[in-house]
Amino acid sequence: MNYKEFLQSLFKIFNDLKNKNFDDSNDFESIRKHIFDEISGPQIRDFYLNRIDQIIDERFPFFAKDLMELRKDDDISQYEFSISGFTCIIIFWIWENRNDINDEEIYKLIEAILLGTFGYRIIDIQHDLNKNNQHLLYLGKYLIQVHQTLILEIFKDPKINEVMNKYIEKYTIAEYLEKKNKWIGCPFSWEDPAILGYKAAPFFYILELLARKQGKDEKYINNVEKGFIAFAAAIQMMDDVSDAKTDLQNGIESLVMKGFLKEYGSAEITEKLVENYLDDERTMLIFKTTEKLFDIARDSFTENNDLIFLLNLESYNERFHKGITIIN
Amino acid sequence: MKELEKVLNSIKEKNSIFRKKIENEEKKIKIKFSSLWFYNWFFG
Repeated sequence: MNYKEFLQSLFKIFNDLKNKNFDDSNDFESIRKHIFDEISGPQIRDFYLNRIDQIIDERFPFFAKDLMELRKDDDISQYEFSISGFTCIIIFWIWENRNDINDEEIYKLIEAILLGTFGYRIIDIQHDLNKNNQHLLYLGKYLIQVHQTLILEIFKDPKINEVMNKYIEKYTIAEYLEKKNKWIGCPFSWEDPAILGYKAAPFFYILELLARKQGKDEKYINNVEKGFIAFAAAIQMMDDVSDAKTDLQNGIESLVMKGFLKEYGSAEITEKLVENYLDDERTMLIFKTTEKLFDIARDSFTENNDLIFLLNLESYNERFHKGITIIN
Repeated sequence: MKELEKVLNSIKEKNSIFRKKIENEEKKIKIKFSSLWFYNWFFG
């Protein structure tokens, strides 16, 4: 499948979904599964995996061998599964909003999202997991450079540098603070948890640039920014719960474990110790904080009447609930 | 997109009920995710 066939296939899925009549069924769980299976199904995923192979061969021949090796790493390969779905949601949003962006620009956008995701991920895992492959940092930076070049080719917005730098600054602040405080303690606070969403900020300039290209007003754009930062922060909270032990072993005290290093700094970090630290009070704090972040995103997307983003958000909120067990 | 709105509202309602159950009834909870949970899944 080439890009053209891929887009045609996606647009057909969107069109079918839009025109489908669900009136004769109240089984919304099945309907929802149908929708999301269609959007992020194996056909779409296979296209993505093949495109990654081709992009590496075409654009990065010198690094092809190392990139192929990297893709075998779980910390990288996992992203290959989620990136296609995430990109499809953006294309769904573009399609729904009749955005003034042509097919060629969408192809570039797909590549930009792929390369940006891999670039930032490579840098992230070298820092966070102490993998000691410093040469890969240069490769990560190069992938990001190519990603940004593609973005500059797609969007001719006079404010493009201002928009991109706004989000890159947020990303830099979050990562700077986190790395500066390795083995010291979490620099983030429960009073302002949205800052956790800054870690995903480079992705959000794509959304703002798309909104601007579509002629949306400042209020709408502010809601996109506010909504996605809060949404990403909620996802980050979930990620931090699942990675709590590994993060601590690498010196990173995430917000969900705030105070741990001060209390147990010199102790061996075990599963048991981490579980004990996540006591009833802390678990409820995590739950309520994550729900409030979802609320901020929900309010922003509702004000913008963004059905696609709301569907995405509610699905993540539901996923969050699936990780919760009520014990009394 | 009326049909999709119905789907959205059904998930939203389900989420709201679950949250209220925990917050209003002051339930004790445990939160646990498998380490790869959100990479292998996107929407459902």
